[in-house]
Amino acid sequence: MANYPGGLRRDEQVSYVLRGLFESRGYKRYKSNRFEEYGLYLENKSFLPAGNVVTFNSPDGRLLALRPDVTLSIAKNTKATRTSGEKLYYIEDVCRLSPRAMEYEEISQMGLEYFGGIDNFAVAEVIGLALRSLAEIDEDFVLDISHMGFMGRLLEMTVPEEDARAEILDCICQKNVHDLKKLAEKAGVSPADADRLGRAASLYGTFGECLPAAREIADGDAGLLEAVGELENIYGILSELSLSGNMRLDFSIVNDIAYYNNVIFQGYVRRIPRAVLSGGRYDNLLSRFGHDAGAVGFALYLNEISSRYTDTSGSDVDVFILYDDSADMGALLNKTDELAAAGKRVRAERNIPEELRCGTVCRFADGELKEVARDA
Amino acid sequence: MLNVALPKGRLGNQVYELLSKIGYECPGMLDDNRKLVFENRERGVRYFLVKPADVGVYVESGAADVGVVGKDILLEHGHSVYELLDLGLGKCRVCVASKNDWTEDTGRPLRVATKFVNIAKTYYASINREIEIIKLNGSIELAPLVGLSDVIVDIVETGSTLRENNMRVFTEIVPISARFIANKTSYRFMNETISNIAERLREETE
Repeated sequence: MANYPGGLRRDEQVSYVLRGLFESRGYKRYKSNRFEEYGLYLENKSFLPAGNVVTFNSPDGRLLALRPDVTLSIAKNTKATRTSGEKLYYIEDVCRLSPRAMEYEEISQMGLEYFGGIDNFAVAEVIGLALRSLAEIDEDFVLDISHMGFMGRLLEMTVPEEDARAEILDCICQKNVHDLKKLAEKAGVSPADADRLGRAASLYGTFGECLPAAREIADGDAGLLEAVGELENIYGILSELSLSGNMRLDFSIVNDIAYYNNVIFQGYVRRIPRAVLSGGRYDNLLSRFGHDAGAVGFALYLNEISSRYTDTSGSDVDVFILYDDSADMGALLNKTDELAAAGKRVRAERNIPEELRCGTVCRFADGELKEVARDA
Repeated sequence: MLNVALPKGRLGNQVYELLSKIGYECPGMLDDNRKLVFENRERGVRYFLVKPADVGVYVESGAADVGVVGKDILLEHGHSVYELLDLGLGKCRVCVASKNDWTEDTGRPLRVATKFVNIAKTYYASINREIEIIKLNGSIELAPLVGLSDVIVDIVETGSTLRENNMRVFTEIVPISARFIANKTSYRFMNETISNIAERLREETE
């Protein structure tokens, strides 16, 4: 991990270092508007993790929304083409409905987007940045990789009814093989195909362990083998990085096929009970906006970091200076400046606030600081 | 240390016996006392005894790595967890029930009393029937008897409570049983332990 300026919380440390990392790979900062036309989200509702959006009318009568997502705005406005790429990163707050609290909450996000002629190297480079980003949060992390082409095609091949696919997909996302098999039977899926779906949903492990199993599930199908081949190729590029040992294969990670194609991924660190990073290749979204370019990117949920890496030890200030009317106020001001310049966090007040945790308590008298007890 | 959330009561005791059989015993778990946390450092396991409806919350939030919860709770709350095994224990059904002589007036919204608001809404939406939900927290069967609702949507195990109150099942919505669930992060960082427990429990319950 890097050295940080003092006083930063973990999420601030992470965003500080990642700005440097993203810029070192040619990504430019993008500052988007906090409000966006509601129509953008309405037309792309299933791209959002939760469909609900806070809306309001602008003074000129347009229906606006408090931005629930950054990627949509950036993707809509990109000028990139397959031969003229664009690399952007952002640090923004988005407003989303929390499925747990059923209240709107502000979520602090940091992410990057690469638009252009996306090939396996470009995907591998972005995954490499995702690995480095996770390592910056915590050395105990994993990045799970999936492929939309694999699970999408397997479902299409094995489950004839479109309605049944959605329910079976839910089971896949929950690694729920018992209900998957019941639903598959009801939908007329053969036991052998239901077994393939079940094996794909529960497959989890390193690429070395899982790629042969994925090939077995593919059972000679050219489309499935192509997806496995792409994963193998990208993993091959990334194996140059020592962090690639933290990559896992997990086909239960699925996103909306209307937007995502090819590789998708999610990152986890041990201390956070849900995914802290999410991303993938989303060429389909760009073609919905009429752009002739591919896209790959990811977002990090900084608020998840701040809620799990809290600083509960230590003190709020290093030196607390008590003074009264007899103090030379000019000399007191100089003293606080001196301490601050020496790297101390200092407060000078007549009384100590009840909840404040102080390192040293001093009284300022006759131009000097004298250490005293807190209740002195 | 593996943290396990178990529902207080008969189901929790049954599951604990299974877990202790496969090497996760914890002395004192079955004693009649008010303790809520039981730990066996040697076996690397800590049990929390929680209200059955709260098991999913403990597991989703990562306070527990794994847990056992009824499918009714998972359907009702939609917890974001992995559902790794159907234990086949605590089998029952979520049903629509009412008085024996009830007949439906399809010309007006149906009044449905339940504590499973989401299950009831999803079911009636699937058959395109307009309903008025009356959320209750217990003694659901009373609602049709005193005219509070037309029907109830509730768990039916043997049906004896319904029979004693001159009521019967009209429709079965979904069969229910206990499920072994895991937190999504714990599944990744304790994969070998959790997969092994799921496999051993499968062998014990098949």
